[in-house]
Amino acid sequence: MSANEFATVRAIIVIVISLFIALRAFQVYFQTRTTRLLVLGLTMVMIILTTTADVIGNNITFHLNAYWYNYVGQTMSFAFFYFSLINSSEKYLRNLVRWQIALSALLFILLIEGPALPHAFPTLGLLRAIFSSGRALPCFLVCLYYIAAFVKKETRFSLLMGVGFVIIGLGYYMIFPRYVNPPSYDVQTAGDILRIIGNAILLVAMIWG
Amino acid sequence: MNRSGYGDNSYQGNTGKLRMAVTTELLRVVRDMRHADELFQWLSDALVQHFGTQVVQFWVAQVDYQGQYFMKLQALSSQDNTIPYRVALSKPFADLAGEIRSWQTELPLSLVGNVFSSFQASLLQRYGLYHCCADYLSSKGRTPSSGLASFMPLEAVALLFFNQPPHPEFPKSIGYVLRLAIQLAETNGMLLPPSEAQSNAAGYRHQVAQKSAPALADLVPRRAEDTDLMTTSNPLSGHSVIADKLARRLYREIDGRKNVQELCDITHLDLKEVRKALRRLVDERRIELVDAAGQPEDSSLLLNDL
Repeated sequence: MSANEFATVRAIIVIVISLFIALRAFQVYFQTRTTRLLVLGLTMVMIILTTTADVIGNNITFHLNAYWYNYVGQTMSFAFFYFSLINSSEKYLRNLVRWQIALSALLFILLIEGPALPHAFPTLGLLRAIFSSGRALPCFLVCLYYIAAFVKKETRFSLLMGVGFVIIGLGYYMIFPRYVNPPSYDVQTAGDILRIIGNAILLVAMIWG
Repeated sequence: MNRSGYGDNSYQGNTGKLRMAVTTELLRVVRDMRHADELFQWLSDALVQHFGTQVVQFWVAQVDYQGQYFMKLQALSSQDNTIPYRVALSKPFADLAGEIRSWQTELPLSLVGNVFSSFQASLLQRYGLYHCCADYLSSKGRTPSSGLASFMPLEAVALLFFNQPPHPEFPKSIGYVLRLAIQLAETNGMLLPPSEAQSNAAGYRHQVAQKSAPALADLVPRRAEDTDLMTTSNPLSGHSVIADKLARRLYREIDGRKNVQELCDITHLDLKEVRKALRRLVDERRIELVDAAGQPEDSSLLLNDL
């Protein structure tokens, strides 16, 4: 299996896991009207959409340039998830959801305009490396939050969530060299494996935590 | 006296004389009384002594700091002391007094089984109380004038219990004596705001639904902040689901801005249903009630009469 094929498999696994979490989050949201669950659901939906766009973009000859939508969309979604954790006020969370919906909708412009963006320029590799690995930053912030929560009150849920997000973050971070050095498919595959493990741990946290 | 024991003129004449005697005594003693408590106690003793009443209770409507009415037992007398104080002071009596206060009318002579629950009725019958009646008393009060203390309106309910049906004229005579007593209390300046120290009787909080409803309708439910959700507790486990359908429906509409009345209008639920749902949400610590200024209110008092 080539690195790209493995990346596609990874993407499908992430989509399935995210879809499960999103559906469950929306189901419980409609029963409890807890705004934090809406943020989680929207985050997962963005992960699904951005990953799907990225998979399609990687497997067609047409330059979709969907990776910008992928990088910015996922960074933004994880960031919103982190913001939803730091404040419990209902007013704050409702405002956060409005911003999340608005910005997510605006990001579609990036997807639509993707083919119009240049697909090759000298610093493209560096920019992709920064934007791609930049997704690790909100994941590490979320991890730190769950570590603090675990220290305050040791629960399985906070432990699994912290571990899951730190592994996902590492998975994003370690693929940095892939864009600047000669293509390192081993690094890419390792990063994909970590992201699969991280997402699987999140799924376990949601089911068993 | 005829076979039933009532109905001949001599007995009616005796009832008239009895009323006259009690009235005369009342006019004599009221001059030395300073507070309505004393009057009610005297009345209860007089009714027991002269009208064959087994038990007499006087309940007075009072207003708490939240503006809600409750009935307080101001005086109690009984023929003998066999009836335990805890039975005479039980909540069903307070509830009945509260209802009569809200109806603002008398309760004609009735069997206790027709007024109280079967359990309560059997308890009363065990102590020889088979019949009861009640009278609603009120004074309009008087506006304060210079140098005089203000007089607050008085609402009271007299509950009377009999071993056997009294003479038909007795309730009329009792009603006459009670109304006269209230007029005398007004005239003699006895209707001052009651003080806790002057009354030794305990009271029951009987919340009148009509009075508490406006206070509740103006409050704003606000979702309680759950800082643990999604941090230490798993929100997808189902524990956070609101089981009760009405409560869930109401919770959906709570946004921290709409008051209870507006929530009733939006959800098309009546106040009673909304109150039940609110009670459930408060018990599950999902919401708190605040006033228009955003100050938290004690939810348990407002939702307690459920």
